[in-house]
Amino acid sequence: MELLKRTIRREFWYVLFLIPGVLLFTLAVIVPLITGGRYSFTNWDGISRKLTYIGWDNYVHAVRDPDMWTALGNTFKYAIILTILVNILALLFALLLDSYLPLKNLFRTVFFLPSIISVVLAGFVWSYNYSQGFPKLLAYFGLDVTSPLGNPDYALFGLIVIAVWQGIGSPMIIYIAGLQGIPGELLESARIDGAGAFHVLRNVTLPLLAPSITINMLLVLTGSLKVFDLVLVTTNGGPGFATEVITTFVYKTAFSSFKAGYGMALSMIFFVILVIVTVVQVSIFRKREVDL
Amino acid sequence: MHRKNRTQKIEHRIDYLFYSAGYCRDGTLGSERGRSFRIDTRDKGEMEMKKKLGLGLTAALLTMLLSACGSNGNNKEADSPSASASASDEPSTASASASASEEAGPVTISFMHFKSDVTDGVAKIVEQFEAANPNIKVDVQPVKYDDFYTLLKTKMAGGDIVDVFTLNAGSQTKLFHDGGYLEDLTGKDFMSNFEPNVLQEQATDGKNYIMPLNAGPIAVFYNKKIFADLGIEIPRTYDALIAAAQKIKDSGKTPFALGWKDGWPLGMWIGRDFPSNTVLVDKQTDFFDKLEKGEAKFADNPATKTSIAHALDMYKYGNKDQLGVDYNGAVDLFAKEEAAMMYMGTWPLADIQKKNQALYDTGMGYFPYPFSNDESLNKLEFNPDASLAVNSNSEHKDAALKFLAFMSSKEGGDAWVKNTNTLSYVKGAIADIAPAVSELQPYFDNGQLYNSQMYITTSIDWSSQFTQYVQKVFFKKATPDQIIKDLDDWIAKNHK
Amino acid sequence: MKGTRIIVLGVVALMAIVFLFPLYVALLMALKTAKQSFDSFYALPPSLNFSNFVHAWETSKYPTALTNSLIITLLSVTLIIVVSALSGYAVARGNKPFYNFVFLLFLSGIMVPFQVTMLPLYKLGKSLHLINNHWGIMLIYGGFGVQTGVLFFTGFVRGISREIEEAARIDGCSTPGIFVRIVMPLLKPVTATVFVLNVLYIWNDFLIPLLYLQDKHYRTIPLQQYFFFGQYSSDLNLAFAYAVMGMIPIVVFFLFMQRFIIKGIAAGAIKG
Repeated sequence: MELLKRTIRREFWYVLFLIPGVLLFTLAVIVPLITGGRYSFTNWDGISRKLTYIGWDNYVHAVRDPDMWTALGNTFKYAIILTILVNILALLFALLLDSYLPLKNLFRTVFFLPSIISVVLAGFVWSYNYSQGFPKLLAYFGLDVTSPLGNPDYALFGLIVIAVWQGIGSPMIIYIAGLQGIPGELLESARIDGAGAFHVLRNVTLPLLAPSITINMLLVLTGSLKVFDLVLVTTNGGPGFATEVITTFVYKTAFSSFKAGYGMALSMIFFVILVIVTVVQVSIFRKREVDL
Repeated sequence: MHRKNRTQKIEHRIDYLFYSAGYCRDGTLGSERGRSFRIDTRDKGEMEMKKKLGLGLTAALLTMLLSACGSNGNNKEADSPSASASASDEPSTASASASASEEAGPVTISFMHFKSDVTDGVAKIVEQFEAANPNIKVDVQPVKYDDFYTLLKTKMAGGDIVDVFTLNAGSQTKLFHDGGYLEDLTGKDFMSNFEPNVLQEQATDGKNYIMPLNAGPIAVFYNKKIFADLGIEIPRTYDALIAAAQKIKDSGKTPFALGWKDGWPLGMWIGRDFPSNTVLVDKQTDFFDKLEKGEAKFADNPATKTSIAHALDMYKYGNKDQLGVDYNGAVDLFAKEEAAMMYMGTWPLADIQKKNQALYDTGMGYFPYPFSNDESLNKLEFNPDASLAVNSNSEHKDAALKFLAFMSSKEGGDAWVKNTNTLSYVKGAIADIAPAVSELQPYFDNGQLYNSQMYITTSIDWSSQFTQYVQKVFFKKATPDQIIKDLDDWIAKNHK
Repeated sequence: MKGTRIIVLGVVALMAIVFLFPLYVALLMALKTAKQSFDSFYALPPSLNFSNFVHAWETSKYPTALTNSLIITLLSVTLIIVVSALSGYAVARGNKPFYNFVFLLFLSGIMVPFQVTMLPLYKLGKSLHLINNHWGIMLIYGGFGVQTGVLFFTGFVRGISREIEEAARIDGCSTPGIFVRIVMPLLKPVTATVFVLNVLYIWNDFLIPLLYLQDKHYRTIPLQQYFFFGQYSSDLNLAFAYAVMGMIPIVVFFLFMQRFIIKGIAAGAIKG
């Protein structure tokens, strides 16, 4: 009996502890989400005071909207290429910086530095470099280049380069930490057995680095699916829709085309996609860990 | 021991996943978590070290989030500044007359405008107003045009009151009027400072909800020296324009400076070439009305193909990297005298003057863009730019209307012209903005002006769509026929 | 072997130059006048010329923006830490199902794309008078930050052995007492993590201030930067000067905090 009372008192405190967090969360996320969800069933234009409920029309419309599929395609293309590139480069840098190298702290700082700059700034600086800086620099070497952002074939890649520049710092640090967690004796004994550097990398380092790789892949992927600022400030979806991603598409629909209701429906769909991607990731991850 | 670690590890990894799955921001979570099990199994010193490591990781992750994820975008949404200046408590004397009685204390009105290319100029005009009206303070909020309407809309929808703001005549005005945000200005004293036909042009449903403010020609700047060296006359027809472009290209110079990395220069051009051809050449006078209702098709309008062909010409004779160079870059090309022509309003003049005084003084001219081969149709495009509106919910309507009255006075009109390098609609305001512009004088004198924006009677945002689609044609990603079909499909799902 | 090392060093140094190049261009722009950049893009300025910085400083209300950024960042981060630590502790120690549900709720919250909540959030803020003051935005950041904060703290607390707490409880300590006296001191490392993460995020955030701090007296650095770019869109040299000024505080913060990163990693290397 006494025990029960104590337990209840304890739980009471725990609930009390939870209240401020839950309140804030409700204010910032739950209430707006519900309101937004409500708008997704209306034809609200984003400004007028009248709302008309139109049922699932916005959702039906969205599924049939080829522009949404283009935007989704671009989003995934961007996210997947970026994830692979960032991870390869971050791993490469980590391996280089993990070896004995003079000034490696300095280099680490340099590679990390771009990640602390706001995306708005990075986009601003880079689009200027693309259109003026690089062409003028390469002209000294007799090369004639134009901004990748001006060509639909390269624009997405141009964005990816900026994202790599900004995004490599953290995965690199994680890889460095991962590498340092690998026992030196293991590498040593592999080398004594006569394994070449590449062989050691493939058969010892990479498998032991698997957890870091998984984490980095997941982080970059989920992050890049939600890319927004970068696209908006550098290409705004152009040229010719080549860089239109789902978030910018939602944004434009809701704000430029006066279709807030439809925009809300699109973002709800995107929300569901994010949830699915997350769940899939989690399950793949679980499976892999079991396999290990 | 080993085995226990393994299970724990798995558990932690799963947590990682959860974290990571969420936001980029929490990426760090993962490392933090992963670390915690090691803390349990290792000695204290190492624990310290690991803690620090974790911290580092988190910082790292965080930044990654910041960069890779775009989490909460920045973007440009939302709102404008404008402090909804409800600072003073005085009762709102909502009488709508311009010559309102003096109000007691100083009143602050908010004024949000999209002439951010001339921020300092507008600020000077406002200072002049404040000097004349010591009881009124104006909180000026300049916003880039690309973001202006988004910000204004968010604010309005959120119940925020901007007292005075700029609007474009036409669909934007209609939208805000429909939302019930615009004070009716019809018949106010100060409106008599404008020509009746101008007021009529800017009316919505027969009433004036906006006061015309500034206007300007949109035409083609050209480099006189390049034209003279190649023996080129000012082209009066479209074919002559392209022939001139060919000559310039053959001589190794760039015919057109295009800053199409920014959306608006291309949009501005299409938004004029297309309606001009639609209405004046192909006589499809009700095309935009029908578009609004979903009854018209781009496929049935011959002007669609004309404009696409024109766009391809522009692209062909443009500077290289047409869609990689932005507006500033294009102005630079023209100012450097590398490009011979530039289709633009008067706003780059100040910049050109800064960069190449000689060119500004005597080296450049300005001619109407010949959208057709019929010389008599190719008048000078002269468009209203910003107009002013007063919020019907303003608590300081009197002050707001006084501000409009000032802007419509001769003094205000002159101040506008002087400080912003664009023309004013105010009767009798000076019109002397730059040497190049005086070349257009005959068109003004003979009344050979037109305003293609009047034809666009729909609020459907077809021009940004057209702008994006036509870029596909530039890069051979689609044929003109395909994009015409795409445009019609897009209209089909977007008409009212 | 030595040769390889030199090659590696060369490659890394080259990459470092590539990484810094865009920032170099920004600095170069900031130090030149429009005419100088126009005449020759890459020429070094004939003399060190800080006039762009002076002009940007005068026109941009930089000190106000800096103060706002500091106040908002510190207030919000403090709130996030306090609230998340409390909630995280409750979730970690409370009885399973209900707390797990709350935990999952926070977790799913981070998947909500901001576009969907943006407009409603603004309307809500408007009706609750949370617009245009430091407190409103602090609450909003609190709401966002608590989602990840709880995850951190929960994870961390779960890694702490319960034994000491149980012992304290037997000694008659109440739950709040245990939290303040025993748990809180242990939370230092995770607190530092949450602190650094949120500082970087809030400092650079743009959209929420744009929604919530329209009044120019409350603008933060990124917001002021954005308006500044908009207003001087044709004066790129000035814009770049402001961009460089905007980067300075966060770079200083980073360089300072980086000691943690480097120390931690270096220590790990020795141990490993």
